[in-house]
Amino acid sequence: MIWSFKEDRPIYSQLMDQIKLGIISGEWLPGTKLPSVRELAQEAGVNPNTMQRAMADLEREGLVYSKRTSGRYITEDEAMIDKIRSDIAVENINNFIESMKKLGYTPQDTLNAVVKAVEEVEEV
Amino acid sequence: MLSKLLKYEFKATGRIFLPLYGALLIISVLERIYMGFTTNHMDTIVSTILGAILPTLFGAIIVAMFVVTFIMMIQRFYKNLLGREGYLMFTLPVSTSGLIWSKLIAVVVWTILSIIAAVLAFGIIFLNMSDVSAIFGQVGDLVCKVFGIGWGGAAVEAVILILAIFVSGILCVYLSLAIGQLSSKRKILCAVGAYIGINVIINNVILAIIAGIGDMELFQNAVAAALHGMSEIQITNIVMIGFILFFVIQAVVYFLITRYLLTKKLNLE
Amino acid sequence: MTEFVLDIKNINKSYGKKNALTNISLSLERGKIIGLLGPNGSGKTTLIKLINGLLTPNSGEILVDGNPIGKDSHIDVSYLPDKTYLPDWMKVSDIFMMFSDFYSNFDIEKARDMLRRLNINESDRLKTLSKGNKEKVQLILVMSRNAKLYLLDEPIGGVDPAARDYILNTIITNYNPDASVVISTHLISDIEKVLDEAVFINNGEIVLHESVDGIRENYGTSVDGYFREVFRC
Repeated sequence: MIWSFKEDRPIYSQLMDQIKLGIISGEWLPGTKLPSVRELAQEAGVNPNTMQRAMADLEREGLVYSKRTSGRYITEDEAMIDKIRSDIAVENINNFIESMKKLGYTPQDTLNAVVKAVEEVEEV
Repeated sequence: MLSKLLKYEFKATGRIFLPLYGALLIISVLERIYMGFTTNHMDTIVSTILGAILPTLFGAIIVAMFVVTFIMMIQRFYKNLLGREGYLMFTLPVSTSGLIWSKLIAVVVWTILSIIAAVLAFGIIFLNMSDVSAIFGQVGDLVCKVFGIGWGGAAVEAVILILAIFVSGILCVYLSLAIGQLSSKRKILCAVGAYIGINVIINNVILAIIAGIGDMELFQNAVAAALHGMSEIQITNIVMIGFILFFVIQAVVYFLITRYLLTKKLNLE
Repeated sequence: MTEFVLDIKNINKSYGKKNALTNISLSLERGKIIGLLGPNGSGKTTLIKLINGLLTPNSGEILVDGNPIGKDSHIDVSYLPDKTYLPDWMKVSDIFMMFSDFYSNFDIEKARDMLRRLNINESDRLKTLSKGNKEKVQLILVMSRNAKLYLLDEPIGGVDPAARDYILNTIITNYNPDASVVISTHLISDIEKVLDEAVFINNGEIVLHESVDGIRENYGTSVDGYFREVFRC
C-alpha cells in the first residue's frame, strides 16, 4: 500500500481512510490478519500512537476486530464492507457535485455530462 | 566508575606515550650497539652519520616525551572535557570528581613513567651490568645510611613534597582552564589570565604571611620557644610537613573550585 | 515512575546580557515523540544542552524522571548532539565497548545489528568513516540505549532524503511506550508524520505545545503550515 497524506486534515483520519480504501479495493481481504501497529506505523512512516488511534477508531466502527492474543483482523462482515463502499461512493459523488457547481454546472448539467462521458467510455 | 574512566584515559593517552617509549628504547639500544662498534675503530661514513644522528634523535625523543607530557596535561582537560568531546564525557553517568581525578592520575603516572623511561634509556647507553649492580648497591647503602641516622622521614617527606607541588601545579592549570571556559568567546585567553591571577594571589598570600610573621614579635618568640631544644631532624620534619600541608591545601582548594565550576557553571558551547 | 519523563519549571538562561531562554516551563509525558520546533537561534539547542547538563540555567529546575540533572539523569537521557563529538581515533568497536562500560542500559547486540544493516565494520576507525556514516554511528549509539528520554538535536539537518528516512524509520522502530523522544528541527514537513506533539519555540520562549492532530483539527492546516503562519517574518 502506498501511503500519502494531505496537509489539512488530521493524520489519524487520513490513515483510517486509506485503510478503508485498502479493504474496499480488496487489497486486504475480509478476515485477514493485519500487521502489528508498529509494523504498520513503520510502513506508513507515521507515529505509532497515531496509527494506534486510527486502529482503535476503525475497531469502534467495526471494520476491524481484535482477538485477545493474536492481533487484529479485517471484519468478515461483507455487508458492512459494502455499506462503507457505498458511503464513500456517496461522499465522492457529493464532493464532485460541489466542485462542478463551482464551474457553474447545476446538478442536472452535471448528471447530463456524466451520462455523456459514461456513454463515450462504453463506446470505446 | 573511576577505574573505567582511567581505562579510557590511559587508552587515549597510551597510544601517544607507548610508541614514544618504544622509540626511545630502540634508539638507546642502537646507540649502545653503535658505541660498541666505534670502540672497535670502525671509522666509515655510515658510522659518522650514525654518530651524529643517533644522539640527536635520542635527545629529541627525551625532550619530546616531556613536552608531550606537558601538552597532554592541558590537551586532555581542554579538548576532552571542555571541547566537543566534552559532550560525551559530561553526559556519562559519572561524577565530575571522577573526571578530574582520571585526568590528574593519568598525568602523574605518565610523568613518572617518562622519568623512568629516560633513566632506563641513559642506563642502556652508558652502563654495564656491573655498573648497574654497583649503583643499586650504592643507592641501597645511601638509603640505609639516611634512615639509619634518622633522616629517613625527611627523605620520604621530600618525595611527598615534590608530588604535592606537582599535583597542585596540575590542579592550578585545571582550575585556570575551568575558569577560562566560563567565557563564551575567549576561553584560552581567560584561562591564561586566570593562571596568572591565581599565582599572583598565592604569591601575595605568602608575602602577607611572611610580612605578618615578621611583624609579630610575640609569634616569633613563641616559635623560637617551641623549637628550642629540638633536634635538627625534628625541625626539618616540621618545616617539611608545613610545606606539604601548604601545597596539599592549595591542591584541595583548586580541586574543589574546579569541581564546582564544572558542575554548577559548565558552559559547553 | 513520575508522571512526566521531563519536567522543566521556569528556566531562565542568559549568555552575558543576552537572554537565550525566558521562563521556560515544559512537561513531557512518556511514550511520545515530540518535535521541538523553532527557527535557527530560537533556543532549541540551548534547551537540550540544559537538560544534558552541558549548560547550567540561571534559575529554574529541570527534572528527568524525577531526578535533577547529574549522574542519575545522565543514565536516563540518551543525547544526540548537533555535531560530531566522538574521539576520532577510536574504532567503532572501542566506542561500543565504552558505551557498554558506562551505560548499563546500552544494548550492544542491538547496536551491532544496526551497524551490520548499514554495512559498516566494527573495526573501522571513526576517522575513516564518511560524514554520513559517522552521523549514523552516533544515531546507533543513541538509539541502542534503553533510555527514558531521547534528545535528538537536529538529526535531519543537512542529510540526504535516504538518510533522513533511515533516521525517522529508526526512531519509529525503536518506539517504546515508556520512553519519549524529543527531536529538534526547523525542517518540520519532513518529520511531521512521526510526531505526537509539537512544541514551538521562538526567541527563547515556548509559544505552543499541542498534539499534531490537534493542530490539524483546530487550525485546518499542517504543523508546517501553521508554523509558517506563526513565524511569518
